[in-house]
Amino acid sequence: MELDLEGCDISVADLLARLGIDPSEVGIVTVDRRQSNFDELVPANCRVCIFPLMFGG
Amino acid sequence: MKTLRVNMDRLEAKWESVLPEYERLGGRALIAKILLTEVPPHCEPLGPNNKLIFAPGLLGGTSLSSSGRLSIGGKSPLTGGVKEANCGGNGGSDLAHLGVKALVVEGQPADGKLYQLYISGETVELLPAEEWRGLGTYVTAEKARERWGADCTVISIGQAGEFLMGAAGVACTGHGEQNSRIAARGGLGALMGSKGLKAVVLDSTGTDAPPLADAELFRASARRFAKELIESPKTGRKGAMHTYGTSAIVAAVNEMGAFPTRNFSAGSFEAAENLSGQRLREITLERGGKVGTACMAGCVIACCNMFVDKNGEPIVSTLQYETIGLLGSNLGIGTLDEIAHLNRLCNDFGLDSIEAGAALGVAAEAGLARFGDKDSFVSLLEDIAEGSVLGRVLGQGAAVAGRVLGVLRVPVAKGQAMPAYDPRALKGNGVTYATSPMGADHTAGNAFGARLEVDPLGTEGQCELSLKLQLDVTILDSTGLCLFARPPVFGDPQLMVDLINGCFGWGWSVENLQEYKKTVLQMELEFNEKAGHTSADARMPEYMTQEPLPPHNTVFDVPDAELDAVFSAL
Repeated sequence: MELDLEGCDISVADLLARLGIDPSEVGIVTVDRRQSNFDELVPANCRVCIFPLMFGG
Repeated sequence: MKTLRVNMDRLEAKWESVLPEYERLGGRALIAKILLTEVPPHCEPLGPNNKLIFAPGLLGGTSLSSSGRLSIGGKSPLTGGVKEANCGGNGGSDLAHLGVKALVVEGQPADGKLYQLYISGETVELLPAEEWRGLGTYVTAEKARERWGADCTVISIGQAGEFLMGAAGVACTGHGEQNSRIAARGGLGALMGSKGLKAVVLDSTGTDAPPLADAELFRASARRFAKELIESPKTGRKGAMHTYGTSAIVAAVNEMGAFPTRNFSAGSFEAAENLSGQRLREITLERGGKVGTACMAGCVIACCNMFVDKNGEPIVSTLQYETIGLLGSNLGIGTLDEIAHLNRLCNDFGLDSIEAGAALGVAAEAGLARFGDKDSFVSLLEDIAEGSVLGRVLGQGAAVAGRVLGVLRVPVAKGQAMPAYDPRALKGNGVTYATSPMGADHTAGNAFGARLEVDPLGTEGQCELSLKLQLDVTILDSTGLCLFARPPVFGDPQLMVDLINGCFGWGWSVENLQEYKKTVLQMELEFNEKAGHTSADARMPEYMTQEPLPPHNTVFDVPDAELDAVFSAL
C-alpha cells in the first residue's frame, strides 16, 4: 500500500500508529531493506516492510 | 537412567550405570563430555575410534511441551570437530522413556554388513539389516515398522549414510504424519553408516516417563511454560510460527538481503514471494494438506506442515525455511512444488538439505546443472543416491564439491555449508558460523530477528551478540527443548531452573544455569582444539570478505581479532 507522508517527519513508531498496528506484535521493520528501530525516521519515497514476531528457522 | 553401549566389533549391547561425571548432563552437553572423555580428538571420524551418541535432553520424556528433541553426536566427518545435531520427532522422548540417558555406539562390524538395533522396555537386540541396504529412509522406516510394530520410532540412514557421505544426516520418524525429521548437520549419517548401523528402532510401549524429584514444582512450572508459549505473540495460535511455520521468515530475510540466491551470489531472490510462508500456507490448505501440526506429541507450538501435491498426496513433512533457501533460491528455483520434490529426495536419501543444497549450488556454478532447472538438480541428487563418482563428490558436501570442481564461491565455515542467511547481510550469523564449535550452523546462535540490539549490516556488537546467543542455545540443546520454545525460559531463567529442579531435585540456581552454558561451550572448544582446530578455522570464506553481496553490496568485515576474542569472556 502507499501512504502520502509528504512534509511529515514521521518515525517508524508513528507509522505503525497511523496504520493501527500494535508495536508489540511487530518483529522486524525494514526501511529500504535495512532493519530499522522504531525511533528511526522514515524518509520520503521509501519502502517500508513490517513483519510479525518470528524466529530464525 | 542408564547408558546403553553397543559394540559393533563384538555385535553386543550392554547396559551400564551412568558415570557420575555424566549424571547432570543431557543432549548436547552429554555428547560434548563423552567426546572429551572417550574419543581421541585426532581419530578418523569414520574410523573405529569415533563414537556415535544418541542422547535425549535432560527434560526429555517428561510432559513438558516441546522438550523431546533427540541429540545425535560424534566427531564430525565434515568439520573434524565436535558435532551435535538434534531433531524433532519421537526419538528423544522414546529414549528417555526407555531409560536411556545415552546410547553410545562404538567400533565397527568386522564383516562390513548393516545392522539394526531394536530397543524396547524388555529387550535390546542387534540384528542383521543387510536386506535394507540401498533403501531410502522412508522405506526403511516402513520395513522396520512392519517388523516391529506401527508405533515404533525409527531412526535411520539412507543411501548417503551408507556411502559415508559428509552430507548425510540421520532421519527420525515423528508424530502423526511428520514421518521424516532429520538430525541433519555435520555428516552424522556417515558416522552412523561407518558403524554399520542402518536403523535404531525404539519401542516404548508400556514404559513410563522418568520419575520426578518434585512433581509439584515440575508440573506447576510446565503448566506455566505451556501457558506462556500459548499466549506468546510469537508461538501462540495466532503467532507466525504456528500459522506459517519456519517459512514465516522467507519474506523478511529476503527483504533484508540475506536470502541465499544462486550459490550465495545475491541476497534477494526475485521469486521469493512464491516461497513465502503465506504462499506455503495458502497452497497447502487449498490442496488439503496440513499446517500447524506438531512433530512431537504434546508440543503446543505446532509449527510443522504436510506439503501435498496438486492431487492432495503428501510430498514432504515438513517443508522448512532452511530447505526453501538452500534447495530453492540458492538453486534459482521459485516454486514450492519443485522445492518440495527436491526436499523429498534429500529426506529419502538421508541427506542434509542444507549441505546438499549448497553442494548443488556449487555444482550449478561449475556448469553441472542449471539454476532454475529442477530436473538438472534431481539428476544430480540421483547421482548421489546411486553413488556414482560425481554423486560421491557432491555427497561429500559443498567444500569437497568446490575443491573438485574448481569453484571458489563455496559457502562453508569449518567445512560445513552455511544455512539460509548470507553472513554478509546478517553479520552476527557470520560470527556464529565462523566461531561456533559446530561450524556454520544457524541453530548454534542465530542473530536473525535481534531487533533493537545490533544492526545486521554493521560490525559493531556482532561478536557480543553471537556469544550471548551461542551460550543461550546450549541449554536448549542440552535439555531437549526446541529452539522455538525459548521465550518463557529466556524471559525468566528461573523457570528453566525450576523445571530442572522439579525433575531432578538438584537445588540449582540461575547461576548454576549460566555456568552450565559456559561449560558446554568450553568442553566443545577444548575438543576442537585438541582435534587440531585453530583460529584459522574461525574464518569466513575469503570470497565473502571481498565479494560484495547485492542488494546491500556489503562484505563480511568483522575483524579477525574480534572473531578471535569471541570466547575470551568464557
